[in-house]
Amino acid sequence: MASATVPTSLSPQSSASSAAEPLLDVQDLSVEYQTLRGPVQAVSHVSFSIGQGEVFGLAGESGSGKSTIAHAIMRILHSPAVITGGNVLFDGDDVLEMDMDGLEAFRWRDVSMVFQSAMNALNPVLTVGEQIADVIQRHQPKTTKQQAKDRAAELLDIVGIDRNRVDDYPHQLSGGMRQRVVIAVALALKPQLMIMDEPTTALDVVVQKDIMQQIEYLKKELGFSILFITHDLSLMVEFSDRIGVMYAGEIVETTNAHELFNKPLHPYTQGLMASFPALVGPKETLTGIPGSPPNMLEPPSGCRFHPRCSKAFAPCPLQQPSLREVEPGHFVACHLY
Amino acid sequence: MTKTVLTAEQWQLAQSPDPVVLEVRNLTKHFPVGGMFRSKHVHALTDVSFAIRRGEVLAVVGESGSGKSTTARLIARLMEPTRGEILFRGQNVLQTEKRGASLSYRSGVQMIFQDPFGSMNPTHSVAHHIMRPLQIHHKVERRSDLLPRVHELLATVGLNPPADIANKYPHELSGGQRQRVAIARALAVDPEIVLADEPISMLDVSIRIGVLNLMAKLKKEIGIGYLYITHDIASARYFADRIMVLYAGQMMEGADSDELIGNPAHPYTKLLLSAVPNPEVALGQREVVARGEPPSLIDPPPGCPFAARCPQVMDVCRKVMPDVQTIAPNHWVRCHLYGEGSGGTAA
Ligand SMILES: Nc1ncnc2c1ncn2[C@@H]1O[C@H](COP(=O)(O)OP(=O)(O)OP(=O)(O)O)[C@@H](O)[C@H]1O
Ligand SMILES: Nc1ncnc2c1ncn2[C@@H]1O[C@H](COP(=O)(O)OP(=O)(O)O)[C@@H](O)[C@H]1O
Ligand code: SF4
Ligand code: SF4
Ligand SMILES: [Mg+2]
Ligand SMILES: [Mg+2]
Repeated sequence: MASATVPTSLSPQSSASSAAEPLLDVQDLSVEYQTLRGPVQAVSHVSFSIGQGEVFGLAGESGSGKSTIAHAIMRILHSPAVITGGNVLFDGDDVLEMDMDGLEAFRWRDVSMVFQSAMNALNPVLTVGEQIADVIQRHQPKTTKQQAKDRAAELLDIVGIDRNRVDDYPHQLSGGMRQRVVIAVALALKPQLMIMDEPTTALDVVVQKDIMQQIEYLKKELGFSILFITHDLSLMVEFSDRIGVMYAGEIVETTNAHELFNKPLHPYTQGLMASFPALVGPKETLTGIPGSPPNMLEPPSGCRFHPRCSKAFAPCPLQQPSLREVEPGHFVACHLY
Repeated sequence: MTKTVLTAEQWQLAQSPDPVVLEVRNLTKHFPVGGMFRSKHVHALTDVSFAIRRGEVLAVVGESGSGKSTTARLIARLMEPTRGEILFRGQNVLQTEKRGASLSYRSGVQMIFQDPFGSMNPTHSVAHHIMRPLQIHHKVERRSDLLPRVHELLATVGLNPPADIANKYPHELSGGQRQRVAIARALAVDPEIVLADEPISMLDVSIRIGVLNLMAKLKKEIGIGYLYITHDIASARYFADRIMVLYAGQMMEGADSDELIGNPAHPYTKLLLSAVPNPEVALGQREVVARGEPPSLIDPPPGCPFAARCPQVMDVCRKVMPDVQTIAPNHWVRCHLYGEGSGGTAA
């Protein structure tokens, strides 16, 4: 087990600002779901950091642990989930040690979250303006009702919705517009970090592109950092500065987005890249990855990817590979390197 | 208004030696909605026409609500069209089969759904799911031939060892395995056409391509033709021979896959293609072709449904729905920018 632990000194740092302290530093995080059928090790010894103004992407298939990490950072994991190890440092403070008051200030003000089905989580009996104003007034009690409403209208503007729709109810808006409202709520308190868990997965590509361009623009204007989660590798490479690829609860490869796209080293990342048909270029027969993601109640021994790996060799089923810096800034957990 | 907007000739299908198996003409579905008198209509699908040859894949792409599933459900005879014709092996299915689909049509045209979880009964084994269509459609001579045929079908879709898989229950299978069982079940009745409605969109990304490759193998080896419904245009390029673009229930453009993606003509097709994530072009650098969202389908105004978003919109677009224009071999488009006398110049 200890072999999987990444010493903090070695943990993949933001290449841009390795000297400066990262905004978010996740160190050796482990999370378990204690189910009736046994413990599910959903996240195992995961480490990464996000610098000021940086977009860090977490890629991986469904069930690989991406959302569990997001929820652990926000401290919104519920039973049967238990954080079994690690630290989450935000601006130097340990989020996992915060008390209720500390968390109240931390959520939304320091870090906010947009999740996949968030657009369906809006309250149907409140107007979108009321829902945004609500968040503002809850955290800034001195704000008057009118001030909060004005700010809500301004936020709608910012996310590309006509401010006249501030009195609309959620059902009067399309899915794409509702997701923009959720982003407006997330921006309301000017957080330094936004966690976006599949923010556009339920939307069509045209709407998705519009929203992602808007977020890109806002990020440049406002300077926040983003933890970006998606299973769509193309979108991830396009939008992120650095990427961590997850498989069965572990980060198996991490480097900057272009390096990952042009030179994936881990066989799983290579397989993922060979799973997406391209829109341009020569038409090749793709192979995908044989088999299917593991049952996390009984994860495979050694390298968790070995039953599906075409390059597996003797040590793979026996020994768990640890994340090592194979090339400058490029970390891979695989016995081949 | 019921002239056929697109004929098989406009796809130059006559050039192909393979016979047309399925053809639809002016397929239309307007759902009555709104209050007690149901006086309004959702124009889910209007005048859609196309043909599919033996062993050919036609992809239908479009945004959510564009009418893709409605097209498949009408052809599967799960509901009645408002108007239009469905021809299977040259027979007008709507006339020969007044009530739903006959046994022979159901075995000729099979459907695979998006949700591999919803399409199976949790209390029945895999073997049961595949035996039933074999029995209903009298596909085996003797009872003792049933199980061997089930195993054969499971092996065909790459589920090994077949004898083990046959005894499993749906909850014991992964999503990809369930979708393969659904394909085996469709194959059991020897269909000529498979209507595949987003068959891979709910699967894990690493196993999607395997299911597409399997469908491609069956096309090549057995000659199955597919109507492949997807919102993922890159997967359409990978799997389909031809692509048709739907917008707000209407056909906008169609061509051979590479032609459509390489030389898109319709402003909406261009918008769709420009929105596909592309790691090689940074988001900020990409031109914005059009904003906004699809129009309401409830009793829509006349003219081109894309007019409200189209950067090249002209006066005529808001009045007249454009006809189909052939602009290159096997490539047609419905847009006033193309063709003579329509008030525009070809781009
Ligand atoms: N039974 C119904 N009654 C009224 N409207 C309907 C009905 N079924 C479908 N529609 C409408 O018809 C239009 C087309 O629906 P359809 O399901 O064909 O879209 P789709 O292209 O398959 O979309 P998606 O990508 O979301 O699956 C939509 O506006 C939908 O709301
Ligand atoms: N409430 C829960 N109870 C038990 N197991 C869970 C629960 N939520 C998630 N898991 C398991 O934890 C693992 C990681 O899940 P998740 O973080 O949601 O993955 P992702 O977001 O990458 O799809 C999966 O194996 C999943 O089945
Ligand atoms: S450690 Fe072995 S099994 Fe795991 S990815 Fe590397 S080669 Fe494959
Ligand atoms: S017909 Fe007119 S509105 Fe429609 S796509 Fe063509 S130019 Fe645009
Ligand atoms: Mg998730
Ligand atoms: Mg559909």
